[in-house]
Amino acid sequence: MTDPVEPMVAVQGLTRTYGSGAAAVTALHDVSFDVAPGEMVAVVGRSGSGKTTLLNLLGGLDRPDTGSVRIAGHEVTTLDDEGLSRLRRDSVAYMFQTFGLIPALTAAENVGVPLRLRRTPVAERDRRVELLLDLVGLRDHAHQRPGELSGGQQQRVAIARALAGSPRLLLADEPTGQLDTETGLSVMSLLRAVVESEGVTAVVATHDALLMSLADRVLAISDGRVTG
Amino acid sequence: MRRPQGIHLPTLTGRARSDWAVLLLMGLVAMLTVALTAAVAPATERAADRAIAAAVADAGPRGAVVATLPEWYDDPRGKTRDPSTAVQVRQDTDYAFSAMPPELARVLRPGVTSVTTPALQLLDAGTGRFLQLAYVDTAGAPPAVTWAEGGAPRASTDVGDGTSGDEPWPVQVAVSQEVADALGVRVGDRLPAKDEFGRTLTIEVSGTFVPVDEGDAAWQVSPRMLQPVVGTADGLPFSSGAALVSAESLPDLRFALPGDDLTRHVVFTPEPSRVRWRQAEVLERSIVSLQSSAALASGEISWDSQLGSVLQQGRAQVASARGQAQVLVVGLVSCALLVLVLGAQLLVVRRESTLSMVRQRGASLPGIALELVVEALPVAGVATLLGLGAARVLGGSGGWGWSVAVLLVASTAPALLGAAAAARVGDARRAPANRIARRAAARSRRLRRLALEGAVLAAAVLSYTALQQRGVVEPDSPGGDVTASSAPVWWAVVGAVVLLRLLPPLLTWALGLARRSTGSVAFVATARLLQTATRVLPVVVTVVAMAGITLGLALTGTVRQGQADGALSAVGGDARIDAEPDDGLLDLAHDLEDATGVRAAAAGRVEEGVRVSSARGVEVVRLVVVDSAAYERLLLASDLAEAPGLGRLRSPAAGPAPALVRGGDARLVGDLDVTWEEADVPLTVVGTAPDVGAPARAVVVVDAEAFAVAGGVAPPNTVWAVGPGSSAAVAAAAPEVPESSVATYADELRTRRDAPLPSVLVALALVSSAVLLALAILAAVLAAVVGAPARAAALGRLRALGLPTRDVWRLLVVELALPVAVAAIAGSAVGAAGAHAVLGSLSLELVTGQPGTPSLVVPWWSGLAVLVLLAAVVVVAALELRSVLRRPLGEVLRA
Repeated sequence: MTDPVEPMVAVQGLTRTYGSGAAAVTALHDVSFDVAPGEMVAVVGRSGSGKTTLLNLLGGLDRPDTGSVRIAGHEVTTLDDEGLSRLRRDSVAYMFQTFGLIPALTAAENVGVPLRLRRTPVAERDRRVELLLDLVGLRDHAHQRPGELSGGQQQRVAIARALAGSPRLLLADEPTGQLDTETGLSVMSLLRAVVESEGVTAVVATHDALLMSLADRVLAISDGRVTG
Repeated sequence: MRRPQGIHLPTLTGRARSDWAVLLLMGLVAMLTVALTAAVAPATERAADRAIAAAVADAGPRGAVVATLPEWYDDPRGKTRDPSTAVQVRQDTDYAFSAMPPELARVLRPGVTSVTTPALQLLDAGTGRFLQLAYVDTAGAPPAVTWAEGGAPRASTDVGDGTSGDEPWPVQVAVSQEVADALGVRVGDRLPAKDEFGRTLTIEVSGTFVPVDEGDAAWQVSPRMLQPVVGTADGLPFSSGAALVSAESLPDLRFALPGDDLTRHVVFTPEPSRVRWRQAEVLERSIVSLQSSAALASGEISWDSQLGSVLQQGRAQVASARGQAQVLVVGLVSCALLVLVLGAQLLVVRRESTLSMVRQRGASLPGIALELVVEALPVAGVATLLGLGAARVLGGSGGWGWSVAVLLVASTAPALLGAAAAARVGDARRAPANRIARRAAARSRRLRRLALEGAVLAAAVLSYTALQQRGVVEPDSPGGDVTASSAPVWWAVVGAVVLLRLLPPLLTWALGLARRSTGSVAFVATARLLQTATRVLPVVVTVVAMAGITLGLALTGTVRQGQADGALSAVGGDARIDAEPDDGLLDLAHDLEDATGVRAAAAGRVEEGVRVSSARGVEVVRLVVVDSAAYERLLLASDLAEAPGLGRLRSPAAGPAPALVRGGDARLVGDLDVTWEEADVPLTVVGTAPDVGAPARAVVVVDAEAFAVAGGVAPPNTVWAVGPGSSAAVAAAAPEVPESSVATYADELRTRRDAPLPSVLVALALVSSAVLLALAILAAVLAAVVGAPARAAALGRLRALGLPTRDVWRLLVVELALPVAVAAIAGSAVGAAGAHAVLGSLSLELVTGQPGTPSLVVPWWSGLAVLVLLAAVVVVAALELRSVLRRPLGEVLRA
């Protein structure tokens, strides 16, 4: 059980450099911050500032050169492939800019994929999928395939899928990047609402200033350094 | 030099450098295909030449062109001896040669001129001794001999001429040592002789000789010069031989006998190595024109030859083999072209973003296409030239027609696909926002697909109809019939189209089954397959390649099995002894049955050209008189034909002998009379004869005992044996049988397998199958590489959701291997069905030497091709997994 005072995310001295020699590019330089449980943090910065690299390191999708990342008290950077898979399956959920839905599956089936990865019993899976589709307002679109849904609807399916495994941490990389402003705002509002209702900690990378108002805290990042 | 407008060479070279591996691969495919297709034509032509030469050589005397010179004119006022007779004969020979069409004369050896008498009865010491006199001349020289005693025949007089009142005029002759012994004559003997009309002459033996070369064609004029016949006729001893007349003694022979007793021939034997397949048709026509020439009508030289029919049969075999080779080549080229298109697709996938950017910057589609052609053309051109060069080095390049197709596809496919990809940039019709417009677009796509499928089906029906109606055997079309030859390929494409139609509902059904499962792999894999398994080109290539492999291996298996069946049938067992008729062969057969490794043996009389009459007509047949019980055991102990009727031949009753009949149209039914030793033996047909021996004419089989009861006595002249030890047992027994020869299944099979056409055809089928397998593997690799980026992204997203590595591996294997496995199995099935459908039209019997179409044999090991292909795909999956895991997941998702 997590210590109530312990942060959900604890990042310490995180550095990540791509390439080597003269061509080396430091995407993150000595980044440290904490995120409290249930907090929604917006990571903002221009393209190439290091937002995606930071989210990748938090979710164990990449390994830092130096520094540590602790999620709910567990060190992520030292986990092997299986440990990372387990972490992503049980504790950390990821949302993609391009939604990442499987075209041949219906909205409900896409939402159910993380539950299948956890081998959740069928009845429980169906209940949870129904609940989540209800939560994101897509109950009536449960049997439609991604190609039959609008961009906003697809991202809502992605939110439902991210929450399906009851993660403690939700990482969203530019979740509104492919949506128009109005739809993006609506999706972010929904994200804000479900994060609260599900009690999930969220780190959302965005470069849209409008969306920052929905976050509890804004973490500004520039040239790989946290600037605010 | 002015560069084409719109072409930026640095861009072009840079792009080529970055995709050098794909371009090189396409070049290699083009080169290999060009080399193989260019080499097939000269290889088959050489095999055709060898086959025609072998057919001519095998025909032996049947292939000779024989000129019969007009009968010598006898002056009714009285003959005189003409010392220049031999010179006249030579002049007549030269005239005959000059009368031949030059193209025919070129393939013939110098003529063997002969002047022969009928068999003359020797009158000095009892009846039953006959001697034929023969003058033989090859290019002005007599056959080479060494003199055992005496010398060459000389003129009987120093005086230039004689008179008809000087009869009987002596004629000097020489005999071989064998003839001297058989007839009991010695050097210096003067033998009075007469012809069948009682006209007499005196034969004087000048010497005995031994031939230098028994194989010299000159001895074929009268084989009895070296092989006298000794036996009994009507219970009396009988001996017959032939003697050699020289150029010096020929005037005496001409003077001694009237012209109607002297037959003059010139035999021109073809030199097999000079006969070419391409000339065969011209030679056939020459022979026909020679035989029907005006000279024949005017009573001058008459011509006779079976060479025309020998060449016709040879040409039919060559046409059959070339047709079969064409089927294999069309399959190979089609598959190679599809692989080239797949390679072009990979190039376009790798350049999609660049092409989009170039298009967005305002480049025209023709400009983009031209750039891509300029890039691909040198690679395709060099590959084509190298392929043609390799074919020339390997054995001469002949057919470059397919090379043009390869060059065209290799150089234009990247351009066309690239231009199409560039055209899609900004094309709003791809995914219209309006739902009605989306439906209309979908309907339009469906209609286009239906039209394409209809075109494929129409092409398949057309090619199959052409194959059924014309076959692939077209002696008058050296280039072959591509429409008919492409039938198996079109049907494979139809098979792929059907598979592509079946896959989505099947996968949807499978997804439904997986839907209620708890786990993720089967469910996600099926969902992924719904998205990726129905890509048209990889499925079509795999089905066409596997169908081609199965067809090639079925062709190989069928030919080889047909050769084995034909060899067994031709020999009549594992070994056979042919001998002069002798009741002792029955004991030999009994002894052979007890020999180690012999399962059964039987003796029988096989006689060709026996006359059989019935109420419906007369037929000349092969008569087989056997110990039917032993023969039935022999057939049962071997893989020879079954003969349920043999048991009905053993009729204890007197009267007509029961007979089994095969062939002979409808004439050989009911009661028959067989003419045997100048008597009629009654037979009655009771069933069908076993299908053994592939005879050219009808066969009548009777039991020896029943035949004897019916009045015919036929001592056996043949012994058959079956079993693994038959060859050795027969070889051991044969020396005890005089005048015998041995034929074995192993020798016969070797001869058939080494024959030029079947060996080249089998080699081509095996090579094309191997190349098709390589192309199928290459297609699977290219298809995997084409889909790799999208697959890596999809798997990356699933890994981000928590998919463990072991499940990534499973998903990869299923996604890559399952479509290939399904397409490969479908292709094999289509190939086997195609082989079954086209077998009758391929005229394989002309290559296997069987009387009918051989039964289809699809070797069990053709299935190994599917396993090899799958193993290759699993290796590709393993390599892709390594590549996927090596890259950080974040980098994969960002790509």
